[in-house]
Parts: sequence; C-alpha cells; structure tokens
Amino acid sequence: MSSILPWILLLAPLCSAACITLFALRWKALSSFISIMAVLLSFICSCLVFARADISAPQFGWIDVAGALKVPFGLTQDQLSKMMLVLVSGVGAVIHIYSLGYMRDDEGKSRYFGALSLFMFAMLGIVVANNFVMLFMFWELVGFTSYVLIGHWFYRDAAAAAAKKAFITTRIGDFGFMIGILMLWMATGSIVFAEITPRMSMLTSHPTFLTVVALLIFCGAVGKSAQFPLHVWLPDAMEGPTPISALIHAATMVAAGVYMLVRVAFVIQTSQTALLVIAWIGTITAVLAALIATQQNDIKRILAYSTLSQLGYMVMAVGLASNDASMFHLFTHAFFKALLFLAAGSVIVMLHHEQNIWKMGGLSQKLPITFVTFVAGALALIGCPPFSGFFSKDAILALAYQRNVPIFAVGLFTAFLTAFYVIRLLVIVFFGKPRSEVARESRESPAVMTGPLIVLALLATLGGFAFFARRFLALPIEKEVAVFVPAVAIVALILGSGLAIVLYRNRASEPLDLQLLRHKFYFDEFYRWLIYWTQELLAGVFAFFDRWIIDAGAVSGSGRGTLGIGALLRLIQIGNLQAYLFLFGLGIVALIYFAVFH
Amino acid sequence: MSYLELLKLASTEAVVVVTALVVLAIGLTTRREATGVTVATAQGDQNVGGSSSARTNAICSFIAALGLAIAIGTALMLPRKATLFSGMLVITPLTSLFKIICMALAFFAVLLTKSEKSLRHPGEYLAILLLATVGLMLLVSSEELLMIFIGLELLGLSLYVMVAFDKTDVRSAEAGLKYFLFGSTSSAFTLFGISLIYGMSGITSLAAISEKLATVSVQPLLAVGIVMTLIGFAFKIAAAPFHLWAPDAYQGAPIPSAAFIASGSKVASFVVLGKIVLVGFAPLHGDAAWHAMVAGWSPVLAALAALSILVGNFVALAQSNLRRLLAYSAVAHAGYTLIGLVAGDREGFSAALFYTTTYAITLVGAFGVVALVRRETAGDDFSNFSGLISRSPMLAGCMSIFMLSLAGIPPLAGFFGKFYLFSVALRADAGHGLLWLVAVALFGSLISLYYYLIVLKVIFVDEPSLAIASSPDHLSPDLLQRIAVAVLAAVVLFLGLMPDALAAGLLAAMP
Amino acid sequence: MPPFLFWLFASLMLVFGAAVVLNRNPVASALSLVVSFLGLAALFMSLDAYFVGIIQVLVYAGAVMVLFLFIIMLLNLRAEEGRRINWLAATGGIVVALILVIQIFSVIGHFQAARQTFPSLERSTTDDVWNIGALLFSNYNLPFQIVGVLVLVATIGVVLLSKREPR
Repeated sequence: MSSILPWILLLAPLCSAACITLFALRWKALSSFISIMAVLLSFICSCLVFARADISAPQFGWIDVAGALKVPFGLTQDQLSKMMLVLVSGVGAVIHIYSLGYMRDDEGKSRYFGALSLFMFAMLGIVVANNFVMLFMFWELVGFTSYVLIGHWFYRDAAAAAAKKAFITTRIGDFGFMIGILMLWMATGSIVFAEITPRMSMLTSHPTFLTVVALLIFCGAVGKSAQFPLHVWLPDAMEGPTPISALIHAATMVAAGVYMLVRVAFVIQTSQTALLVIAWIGTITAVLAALIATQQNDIKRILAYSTLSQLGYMVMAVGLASNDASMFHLFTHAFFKALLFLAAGSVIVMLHHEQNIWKMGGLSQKLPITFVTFVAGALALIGCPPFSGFFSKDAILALAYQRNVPIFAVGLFTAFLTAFYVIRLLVIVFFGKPRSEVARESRESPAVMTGPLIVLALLATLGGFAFFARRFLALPIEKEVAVFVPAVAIVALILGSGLAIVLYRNRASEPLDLQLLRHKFYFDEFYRWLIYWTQELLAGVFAFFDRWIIDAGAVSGSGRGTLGIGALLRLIQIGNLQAYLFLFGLGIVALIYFAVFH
Repeated sequence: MSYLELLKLASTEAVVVVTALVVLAIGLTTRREATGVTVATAQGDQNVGGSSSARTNAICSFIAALGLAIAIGTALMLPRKATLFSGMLVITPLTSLFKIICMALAFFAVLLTKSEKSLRHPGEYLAILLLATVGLMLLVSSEELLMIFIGLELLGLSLYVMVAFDKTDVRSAEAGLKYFLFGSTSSAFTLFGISLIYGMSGITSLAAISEKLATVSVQPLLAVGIVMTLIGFAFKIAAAPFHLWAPDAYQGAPIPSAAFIASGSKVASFVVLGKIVLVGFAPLHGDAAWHAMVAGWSPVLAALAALSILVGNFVALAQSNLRRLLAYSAVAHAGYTLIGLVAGDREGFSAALFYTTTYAITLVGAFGVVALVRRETAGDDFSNFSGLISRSPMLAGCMSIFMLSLAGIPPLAGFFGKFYLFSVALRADAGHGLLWLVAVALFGSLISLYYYLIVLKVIFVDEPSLAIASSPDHLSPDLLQRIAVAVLAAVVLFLGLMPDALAAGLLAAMP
Repeated sequence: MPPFLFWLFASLMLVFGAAVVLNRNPVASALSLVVSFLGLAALFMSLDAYFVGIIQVLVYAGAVMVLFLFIIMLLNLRAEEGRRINWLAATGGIVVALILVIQIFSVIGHFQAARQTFPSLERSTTDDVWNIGALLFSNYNLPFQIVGVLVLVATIGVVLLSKREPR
C-alpha cells in the first residue's frame, strides 16, 4: 500500500487529463468534477505520504540503452519533495475549486480543466523526479501546459502572443539547462541525483567546469522562474485566466525553478563564483521588478511584478547558499501570492473583467471578504509581522546581512519598495471613492470563490510561525543578528507604507510619472530592437548574397531588406535552376577545400 | 554459391519485386477492362475514369500492402548472419531490422496513395513504389560500394518517376525535373568518388577497404574520393547545401512520394551512410573538435550538419506552406542526425538511426494528415489547415503530436531522440570537442519551436477560412487512413515513453 | 599506346563533349556525342579493355545514338532559338567548375603513387567476353539482376511520363 501512494498521487491528474480530453470534452460539469476529484485524491495521498516516514516508491528502469544511457523512473521521497507535494497539491486543490466559480460560464471549461489536470501531473512530476531526464521532461511538459493555459483565451491576440512568448522565452533558458545536464552527465556518468552527489568530489579539481555547469543549470531556473534577463514573459502571462496566474505564475510553476535549484544544490554549491552570480541575479531581479511594479496600473501586472520580486528573493537565498531560507520563502509565498491572485480575481470578475486599478476604488465595503483576505495577503507580502511573509523574508535578509552586505542593502531597499507598491495598490483599489460605474455596482463573490480565499488567508497569516512551518520544512537557524535585521526591515516597511499612503490617499489619478519605470526599463523594446537588428544584419548579408551571386534579375527587388532573414533565405530557393546548381557546385568545392586544403 | 541459396537470402527482395510485377499486371489489365465496360460502372456523380481508377487503386493497394506484409514475414525468417559475394548482400540483425522498418514505412506510403485523387495509374505508381522499396532494402543490406551505387540508382530512378508522377500538376513535373537533375549530378560525383576509392584500394567491399586504408597514409586524393562519395548521400538526406531540391520535391510531388522520400529514402540513406563511414572509412575518422580538427570524414559531416541545422531552421521560419516547411525542417533534422555519425561509434550510429527512424515515422504521419487535409480542402498552405481542430479534432491532435515531437518536446519520441544524440555526441570526445555542434543543434531546435508553434496556432487558433468551411467536399470518411495516422501518432508517443523498445534493439543489433 | 595518342583521343573526347552542350542544333549535338564516344572507346582500347571498347562503339555510338537521331528527326526538333546568355550565371558556373578542376589537378599532382609506372596487367588465357560473362553470372550476379530491375523502373517511368493523357 505504502509504495503505491506516490504513484497514485502522481498519476491521478494524468488519468483525469486523459479522461477529459478523450471522453468528457462535451460535458463541462463532468470534466470539472473529474479534475477536482483527481486533484483532491492527489492532495490526500500527498498528506498521507507526508505523514508517514516509511514510504518509498520503487524505482524501475525506464530507458536502458545497453549501459550507454540509463534513465530510471523513480520518485524522490525526501523531506523536501514531500513538503512540495503537499504544497503543490494543496494550493492546486484550492485553485481547482476556485476555478469552478471563476470559469463558470467559460466556453472552453472542459479544455481548461483538462489542461489544469495535465499541469498538476507535470508539476508533481517535477517535484518527485529523481533524475535529470525525468526532471527535464516534466519541466518541458509544465512549459507546454502553461503555454496552453496562458493561451486559453486564444482568440485574444494578446493571449496568444503571451503564450508563445512565455513558451519560447523559457525555452531559451532550457537551452542552457539541457547543455548543463549533458555536461554533468558526461562528467559523472549518471543522471540520477543520488548517484551524482557522491561523484561530485571527482570534479573538485575542475573549478571552471563546475562553474560553467552550475550556471548552465541555473539558466533553466532563470527561464522558468523568470529571473532577469528572461523575466519579460511573466507579466505578459497575466493574459491567462486569473486562477492560472495564481496557480502557475505565482505558487507553483515559477517556484519550480527555485525548487530545482534547491534540488541540485549539491552541484551549485560547489562553485563560489556561480553562487555569487546567482545571488546577484536574484537581487537584481528583486529590485528591478519592485521598481517596475511601483508604476503599473493593471492589478494583475502589479502582482506579477511582485511575484518576480519575491522570486528574486528566493534565488538570492539560493545564491547565498541557504536552501532552508529559500524554501521557507517559497512556502509562505505560495500561500500569500495565490491568495492575492485569487482575491484579485474575485475583484476582476465582480467588476466584469476590469483590471485597471484607477477604475476601481472604494471596494472595501462592496467586497468585504475579498478585502479582508486581500489585506491579509498584502501584509504577508510586505513582510508585516506577524504575517507569514515577515518570517521568511526576515530569514533571507538576515542571511544576506551575514554573508554579503551589498546584497542586504539592495534587499532592504526592495523591501521598502514592496511596501510602497503594495500599499499603493491597496489604497487605490479598496479605499477612496469608486472611480467607475462597475466599481459602484460590484458585490461580493459566490462562496465557491470566497471559501478558498478564506482558507488561503488563514494559511498566509499563520504559515510563517515556527510551530506550523516546522512541520513541513527545516527552518533556517536564526543567528544573533536577529534583533537588528527585523528592526531595520520594519522601519523600511513603515517608511514605504507611509509614503504610499501619503501619496495616494484620495487620489483619482497617478501623481508620479516615471516613464522609465512605467515602460519596464524598456526591456521589451530593447529585445524587440535586438531581434530586429539581428534580423536586419543577417538580412543584409543574405540580400548581398542574393543580389550578387544568384541571378540578379530573377528575384524581384520589392520588399528586400524589410523581410526577415527567413524570407531572404527563401529567395535563394526561388531562383532558377542555374543558381541551384551553382550553389550545389559551390558546396562541393567548399567541402573539398575544407577536407583537403584546410 | 548456388542460385537457390541466393534466392533464399534475397527472398524478401524477391517477394517485393514479384509483388511489384503483380501489381503492375493488375494495373494494366484492369485499366483495359475499365475502358471496355465504362457504361456498366458509370453511376452517380463520379465520372467513369474516376470510379474505375479508384477500384484499381483499391485492388492494387491491397495487393501491394499484402505483398509487403508477406515480405516482412520473410524478413523475420532470415538467418541471423550471412554474407554473399563478399559483402554485396549482408544479413545481420541490423539489416533485417531496417529492411522491416523500410517496408513498414513503404506500407504506410501505400496506404497514403488511397487518398490521392489525381493518381491516374495506381498500378504503375505502386509498382514503382515497391521497386523503390527494393532499392531501400538493397541499400540497407549491402556492404559493397558497387552494390550500394546500384541500390542508390534504383532508388533514385524510382523516386524521380514518383515525384513527377502527377501529370496534371505542373509543379510535380518541375519538382521531378529538379530532383532528377540534382540526383544525377550528385550520382556522378558519388560514382567518381567511389572510383577514386576503388583506385586507391583496389577493392569495393567496405570491410576490405577499411583494412586497406588502415595501412596507407592519408592522402589528399583519398580525401577527395571520400568527400565525393559522401555528396550523393548528402543529397539523399537533403543536407545543406545539397538540399535545394527538397522544398520543390516535398511540395510538388504527390503526397505518398513526398512521404516516401522523407521517410524510407532518408532512413536507408542514413543506414548506408553510417556503414560507409563507420565500416569502410573507419581509419579516416578524423576529428571534428572545434580547436583540433583533424582531416577525415567527421569534420566534413560536422560542417554539413551545422550548415543544415542553421539553413533549415532559418528558412523554415519564413514558410507559409506546410509541405515546404516540412522540407526545410527535414534539412535541419538531417543535420541533427548527422551529429550521431560525427560522434562516430556504435552508440553514435545507433543514436542516429534511432533519430532518423522516429523522424521518418513522424513525417509519414504528418504527410498522412496533409494528405487528408488536402483531400478535403484541395491545398496544403497554412490557410488550408486553419481551424482544423473544429473540422477534425482527431487529425488536429495527431498533427500536434507530430509537430511537438519534431520540436523535441518531451515525452514524445523526438525529445528522447535528440537527447540521445546530443548525449552521445558529447561523450564521444573526452575534451567536449563536439560541444560546439551540440550547441548549434540546441540553438536550432530552439528556433524550430517557433515555426512548429505557428503550425499549431494555425490548427487550433485560426478561424477556418470561409471557402473551406462551406466546401461540400469535406465529409469523406477515410477510415483506414485516419486509423493509420492515429497508429503513427501512438507510435511516436510510445517511442517517447518507452524509447528502450527501439533504442536497445538498435544497439544490440549493431555489429 | 604512345602518349600522344592518349592526348589525342582524350582531347577529342573533351572537345566534342563540349560541342554537345554548346551546339544549338540537336542533330549536330547528337553527332558530336558520337565522336566523343568514339574517343572514349579508343581510350578503353588503349587500356586493353577491348570488349568494353567495342561495346562502347556498338551500343552507344551505334544503337543508342541512332535512336537519338531518329527521335530528333521524328519529333522534328529544330535548332534552339538563340537566347540571351545569362553572363552572370555562365561566369558563376565556369568559375565553380574551374575551381573544381584546379582542386582535382592539384590533388592529383601531389599524388605520389601516380608518378610511377604500374606493372602491366597479366595476360589472361581466356578472352574478355568469357571473363566478363563468368563474372557477371557468378560474383556479380546480384547486381546484374538488380540492374534488370533498374531497367524495368526506367521503362515504366519513361512510358508513363511520356504518354499523352486523354484530358
């Protein structure tokens, strides 16, 4: 029995996804029912697995190519993965139930729940994977399902574009991740975590190699956890349904990058250089996202940037070589961020899909439960004692204070900014006067939506206390500095909140106008320019090739230079046969030159 | 060597040739009958030629499929090891396995012919398809340069005819002409290369060449011979810069021909290319490591691979016709597969063969979907695929499996194939010499994701254009073909989940 | 064979080979091809390959070319219209071909083994035809039969592609 449980919890969502796609696409109620049952089953099994110490899932050989490549299919069952299982399936279950209300009238409800189940399967797979190949497989599957879910409303151009952007941007990170995995495998001869760990000592004489491998593996996390400079996809991903933003882009998928880093900490911690780079990337992400968040007007985008910022904290903690602090923050963040998103979703639905905060206002009376829960989440996010975020963020700041003071300073500044933009959001949305018709007529959400909010609010409030959190994970040990750091953090918090209240109380429009921040430091523009410029350069090269080597008259000159590189390469193909044969001959000559005279 | 023994060992080929002759005979006789009794068979809105041709098509396809099934049976009965005429016909587990794979691919191509409305002479077409299959089997099972060349020519000649077969379509003729011109040019180079190698070694059997070459020093003339020999195969697998025929052939040819070129022809070419370089030219491996290139065939193949990956993926970005897109992606995939050969040991070879086999299966499936869509909408541009999900969820699902597998998304076969290839390439060289090639390949597969996603977007997101939605023709339940496509999709998924089933078998069959 | 005969026949072959391509009149092209084949046959003879040489004359220069000429005349093919030469393409083609020739020449020039005279072949007690026949039906039996299949494919292909279809 005990060895079956892990399999059940992993496979239940898969079965649900298969059943829904194969049979139940027409019956919306049935598919949502199947999906919710599956996730509840997973959650119950996770709890059972968590409660029992003696559970071990049998490992079986999955791929075995005559010794050349051995990939087992096994489930990790250690404290870390058990905690993540409970967290992922628990938050997942809450969000499934919430989705019932949020997606009540959606056309593609069955498709939505099918994809949601598949996502749960993939995410649980990442958590339990005991080797790199499994991890990477589920990793990509998570990416794919997130693509499907972000693009759920694919008829909106923005949603389709955001889905593609998310998929491709994370794949850029995976590009490095894959190379890192291959290099590590090449060096150690194994891809199973437990087998690599003892073999790492063989590599200590190659510090450069270790640094490169660690940073390449970190690339995967940069993509998936949306760290600078690949952070651009996460805010756009908010085009998906709000429960998806809560589940994937706050609590689980983006946290997968951090989880992966912790899981492979035995590699990363072998290189001090890599750790330093990781810590700084996390710090930069944290402060950058916080700065951008202060000038955004879309409620979900503000939350998305706050997610980026908090992920930055987690990565910073990984870089400071403390897995405990990182996981602790991941743990509390999952609750309060899911809560914030769901509360925001409740606001959005009740305001008929209005997301601009300047169209809201005065909602504290209209949506009392949403308001109270949102406040709980917000206080947790800014690290106000005694909410959960206070403890975990404090742990990270204390760590930074000990290990790297510049990072501590930036982290503190980020805490100040966080307080500022969260309180700004709170003030604008819930206080003052309603600033639009829909805001005046809104009312509280149904119980199926507020229920999950209350559950999550409790968790967000209590989640940080040692008596609760210790059951789930090892807490970072507090050192003597414990008095100084929280004191400074609370000062930063009060300053930030106070400034926001002073600035935004009873305002009807934005008093500040910081173009640089509003335009997100022009990252999107920069990337667009970069892509355009690369294309232009290559296009120029190929246009030259096209004009002087291929028959000049055969190709019309229209649009040359404005087309992308692909279009210009295609022109080569359209040329006549002589040109084809010329290139053929050129190829032969070049090959002979390469082989003989080179 | 008695003729009886030859017949026994070549029974598979013999069965297919006989089947081809039977199909040819049936095609000829039924056509004559049909012209005699046109009135009797004319009914409904179908024209006379169409109905009789459809019946002939059905009979011939059935016989061709049956013949292939029998031949697969005989291939299973072949002895484990045999060598005839110093390597002209070699039977090992590997060759038997690939004979079966080639025949299975031909089998699916036969199923595809059923949907080709424009096919006027199904008997002749299928006969040539079967004879091309014989060419594949000879290529796979020969370890002798002369025989390989004849197999190459048999395959090539059949394919030229198959590409140009659709005489109602001018693009088919154009594609045939281009394919023919390029094919004969590259054949000439290959023949020249083979004769140079024969001149240097005095023998044509691969194993003997290898022994001979091990004793002589590497000379420029030998390198020229090797490069020229490789050109014919680079042409067949559509590696850049010898790929220029591919887009036209993939787009202009009748769909079964295109599917056959993309699958069977490619698989067999990789098998024989691998045998030539790994068995025949083994002493001249060279080294393709970035900083320490040593002359030999592996840097040549590495250069071809890198160029193919870049050119194929970049040009594919700009396509708006699915078949052209598949052609360019085929160029890129040829590049990936070559990496396995560059790595150059048993494992590299088996990784390359695993990759090319799964790729062939995927492409036959993709062409199956294209065939069905083309039958309904009379075209294969992206616009013909728009909104496929609402017309046929099954086809849309299968197509997305094929596309995602090509993009290398786990858990489909394409992912494991790539992983296996890259890992083997990295391990082949202690100093990470091939890392540059793997990086290029990963970069290429990153780009490729973009255009495969465009295909998926067209299928799932775009509104079906009005002309297609109102077409009265769109209810043709081609059950058999749909089943075939579904089976292929299931195989792609299965090989992704259980790659062992093929990969371990391949490695075990390696000499 | 004295070297000057080799050079004579070789240059004959090349010059008339070029003439096949350059001539605008198909009949002249076909006749040039005959001469080119004759040069080739002479080269075979010079290598003591009498049978191949004779076959070259009989089959190619004789049968095949006569067939060509018949077809050209039956179809009443006229001389091509003078068309504008695409100098860019022509230059490109010539340059590539030239580079290839230079490469091969320089490689062969460095080929040491070619500098020495090879021992002459052993005289066979049996004649050429017997030797070739024996080989074809023993060692090269399989390729021989496959070539039969090849010819079948070619026949089917030619008939199909050249047949006029009723509209």
